Amino acid sequence: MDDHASSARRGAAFLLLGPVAALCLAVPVLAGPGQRPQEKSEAEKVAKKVQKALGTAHQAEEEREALRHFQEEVAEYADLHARQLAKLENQDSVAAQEALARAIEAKRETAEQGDIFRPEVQPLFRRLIAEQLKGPDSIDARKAVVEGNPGLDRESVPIVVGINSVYPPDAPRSTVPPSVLLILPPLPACLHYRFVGRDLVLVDAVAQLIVDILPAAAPDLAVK
Amino acid sequence: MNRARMGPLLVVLWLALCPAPPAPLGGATAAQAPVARTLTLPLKDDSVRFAVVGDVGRDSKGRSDVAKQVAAFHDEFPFNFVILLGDNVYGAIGPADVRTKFEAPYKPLLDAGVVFHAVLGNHDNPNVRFYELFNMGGERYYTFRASKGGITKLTEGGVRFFALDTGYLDKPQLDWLEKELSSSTSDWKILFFHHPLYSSGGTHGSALESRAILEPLFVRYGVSAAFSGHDHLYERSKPQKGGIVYWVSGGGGSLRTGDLRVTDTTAKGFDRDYHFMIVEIAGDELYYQAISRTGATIDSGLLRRPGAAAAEASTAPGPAPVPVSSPAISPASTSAPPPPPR
Repeated sequence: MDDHASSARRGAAFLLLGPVAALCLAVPVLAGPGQRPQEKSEAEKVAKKVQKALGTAHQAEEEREALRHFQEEVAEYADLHARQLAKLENQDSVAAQEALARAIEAKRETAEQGDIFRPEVQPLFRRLIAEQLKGPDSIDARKAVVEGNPGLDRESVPIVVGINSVYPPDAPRSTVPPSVLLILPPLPACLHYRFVGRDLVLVDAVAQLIVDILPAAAPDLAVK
Repeated sequence: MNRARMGPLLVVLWLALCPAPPAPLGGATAAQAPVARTLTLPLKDDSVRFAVVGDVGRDSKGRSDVAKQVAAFHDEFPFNFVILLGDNVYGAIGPADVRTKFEAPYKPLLDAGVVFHAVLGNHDNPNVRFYELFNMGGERYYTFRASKGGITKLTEGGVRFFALDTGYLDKPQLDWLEKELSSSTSDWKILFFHHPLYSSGGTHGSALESRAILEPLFVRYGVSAAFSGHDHLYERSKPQKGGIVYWVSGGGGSLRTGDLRVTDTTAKGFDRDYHFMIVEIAGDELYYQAISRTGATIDSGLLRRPGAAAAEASTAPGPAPVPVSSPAISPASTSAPPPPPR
């Protein structure tokens, strides 16, 4: 329980620390020498956008409450992950990761979509993501999400993901743009955000299990 | 001889005597018959030597040819390790999979004790970080130090490498990078990661968001050079902020012919065939050579360490090229299989 409470505190702190993160991370970037004018202008816009994104604080009370629940669920999953991992021998092997997937899958037999991305936290995620992916200054971020995104990248085939299923081993992973990653609630090391199509997927970074799915989390990702 | 007869004669004479025009950026060296291989690196005593291969994960004749060519150059230019720039193994990563997809083509190097260090690409199963022969220690991002004659982990001085997971640049990774860069006293700080910060590739191009986050750290902490893949071509950038040169070397197993859009940031580019690189660092000098799978040198030169005295990137070639006697490797269009490497 203490872990959950401290995790929730960390989540609330995260919302208030945006401006600090901005100061630490978003040093204005000028385009490098010799760049073509179009890329130079685009690079300047992206740098400003990242700076602005990191400086945005989200302090609405209802959002903090919804986020606290999210962090509690995430912490609970992290505990489960750690417990199951501890039972495995030779944890640093590919085979062990597959065994971990089977063990967690068995423990979460009744897990359903929305267990972690609860309905009350979903608008917050959609808003944060939209802030980073919408508009003419976000072309590079949208392009990054599309690249390697099963179903959106023309070089990959669509995949179907379900709760407790393993991310298809043959499928590529979308890039999660830094601006999106830095603005979303932080996750423990055992969990990653990924995009599959426009859905935001919570993936176990070791077992490669789909832990939860937020449908239509991203806005239209057209690059042009 | 009248003027009408002199004209054609002069043309013939001109063609015979004039040197061939320089290869344009974007690669005039199309996949052609095997060529004489030359080593342009100096092979200095006590230097740090390594090879760079990107995007080797797709099963192709090009991958196999490149692997053979890397091994052939290793005979003449003994290097201790290879950095792999991501998209190293497509699909499943079970023992049989990695045996076929990686260990078989690179067997001569593995047998010779060459160590590989990989980063994750978007086509890599993230758990490939647990694959022993990629030496990632189960981590998405890590650092190691190279010293003469081998690799020593996490001690100072010499050349320090930082491997990043640019598909997922989260805050813990950025914090780690800043801490490691700021505490490193190595003369050379070399980054390698999959998504290029500067690329003139038409398919992907520069990862501008990652550049906005990473470049200030690189400049602040004196990074010297960065190697990436992702775009399946070769490109060396002009020195960018902080004098940093960015290489794209994503043609170790995949190729996008004609994908290079030459820009003002391009110092040299090549998109006509698969390729790899060999690099030698001695003192404040980094010698590089990019080589196509036929063995042709597509780029070579010397980079002085940014921040070193009289630091200035130069494309002046290194010492006199030394012929490399390696097996002929034919382009994909040739059906005859290449002979095995020596």
